[in-house]
Amino acid sequence: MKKDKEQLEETTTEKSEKSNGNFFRTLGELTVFSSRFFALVWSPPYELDELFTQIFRLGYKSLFLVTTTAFIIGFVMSLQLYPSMKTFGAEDLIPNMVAIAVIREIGPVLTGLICAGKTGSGIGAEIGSMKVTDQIDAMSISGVDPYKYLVVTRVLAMTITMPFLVIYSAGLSLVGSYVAVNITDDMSVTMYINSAFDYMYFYDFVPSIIKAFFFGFTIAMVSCFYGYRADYGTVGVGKAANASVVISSLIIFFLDMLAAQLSHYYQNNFV
Amino acid sequence: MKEDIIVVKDLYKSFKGKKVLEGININLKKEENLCIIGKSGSGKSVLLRSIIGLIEPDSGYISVFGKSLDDLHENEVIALRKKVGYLFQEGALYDSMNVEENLAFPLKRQPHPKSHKEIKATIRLALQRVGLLSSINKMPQELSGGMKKRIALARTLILEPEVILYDEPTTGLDPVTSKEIIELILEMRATNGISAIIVTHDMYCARLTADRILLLNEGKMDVEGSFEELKRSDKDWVRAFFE
Ligand SMILES: Nc1ncnc2c1ncn2[C@@H]1O[C@H](COP(=O)(O)OP(=O)(O)O)[C@@H](O)[C@H]1O
Ligand SMILES: [Mg+2]
Repeated sequence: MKKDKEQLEETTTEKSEKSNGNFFRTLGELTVFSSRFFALVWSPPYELDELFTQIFRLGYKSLFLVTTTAFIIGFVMSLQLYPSMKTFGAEDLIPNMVAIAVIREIGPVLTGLICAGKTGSGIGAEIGSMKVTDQIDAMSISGVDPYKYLVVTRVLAMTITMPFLVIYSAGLSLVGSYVAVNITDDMSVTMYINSAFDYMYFYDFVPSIIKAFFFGFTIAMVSCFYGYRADYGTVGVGKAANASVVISSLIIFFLDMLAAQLSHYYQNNFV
Repeated sequence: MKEDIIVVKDLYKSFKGKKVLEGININLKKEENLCIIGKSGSGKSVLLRSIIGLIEPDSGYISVFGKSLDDLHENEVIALRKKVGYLFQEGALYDSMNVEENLAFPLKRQPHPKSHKEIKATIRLALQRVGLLSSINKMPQELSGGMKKRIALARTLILEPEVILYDEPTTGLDPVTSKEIIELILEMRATNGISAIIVTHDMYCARLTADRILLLNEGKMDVEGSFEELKRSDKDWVRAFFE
């Protein structure tokens, strides 16, 4: 009985220590964890099989979700803009507004968040359960570096896939928007496209692609990190999956803000 | 006097102030089956993990095949680990791969991998040894606990280790399956001269496999002897294991 109480106290103090911020420590550990990627990504063996498996799994399998949400966002945005734009007689500007919003901001962030939810939790749970069932240790004992096999491949796969998903999602939002515009007004596809890309410049696309790379890297890296740290026991895996989603979503918003500031600065000073 | 394969001296390990190992000493001789018995939570897995370098001890000396783990470079530790097999408590099969891929995984990634054909042959041979060739295409989820352990043992054997560390090889298995695993452990030594540290709290397993038994209690291992000697010990808590 006394022992139980002691144990209980011990675990509770451990918990409060853990949750007591330690924010910077975790951030430091994440940085150290990530830096191994850059050391290992260049050296063979390249585990191409696993890389392609992951590209398929992480990219292809989130396609359905990205398709639906992207289409709906484009559709709904156009519908909702219509009444107020009509008041100003500016409904012709809807394609252009939607295009800018979707390509510069909504496409990357929406896709990032969806992937954080779907892929992030998937990776977190997968790596987490491999950790708690000793599969990661089993790998390193047999002379295979689990970081290289599991983390490097997943991070690469996400980093490569994300830009394509972002472009795809922006495209589909425009399709959604075109459908919505056609419900209210008639507009040919060429007219829509002309109008959508009227005020678009090259530098509207570049930041999105760069953001997409960083989002993909972040989601996979953060999720692998929390998976690797999963505590033994069933709760540990759930927690790892949860932390993967929450933290990678937060970092996505943070990076997005940073990117907005940077591109603003760039446009003010160099364009 | 046979040579020492594994030597552990004054090993200490604690987690966040909780003392788990408090001065452990072990020496494993060639072709010896050494059993370590302790209650669950007494630190048996922590001890085995320290020996193979998965856990860094707080202090103490560990040497494997005459080489101290501290002096070795990371690459050398990896090379050394190949000579030391490890059977995880739950088997630790890769659950995204089928049995054949599980066994091929370490083989394909050795510094000088064998040809595709040789790998296939090696895998079949290893599965035959554990009597599970028929499961070659199964996924781990389709296997029973005992089968998982046998496959895991095959995966360990495939790298031709000279020592195997068994973490509770019979825990959670029915008596018949336990017996099969125990026979495999004995066979490993008989045919390949493999030495073993067997961590367990199954006295049946200890009686059949152990040349020598060490008792792990409260972080220390002060009691040593053969099964019969320990059974007749004058200490109550030692005899308690045998009841
Ligand atoms: N990585 C770890 N972090 C914190 N505590 C641990 C860790 N590994 C083991 N422990 C603690 O060490 C003690 C011994 O664990 P273990 O060696 O798994 O026991 P067993 O003898 O059942 O194998 C347990 O109380 C466990 O909670
Ligand atoms: Mg254990």
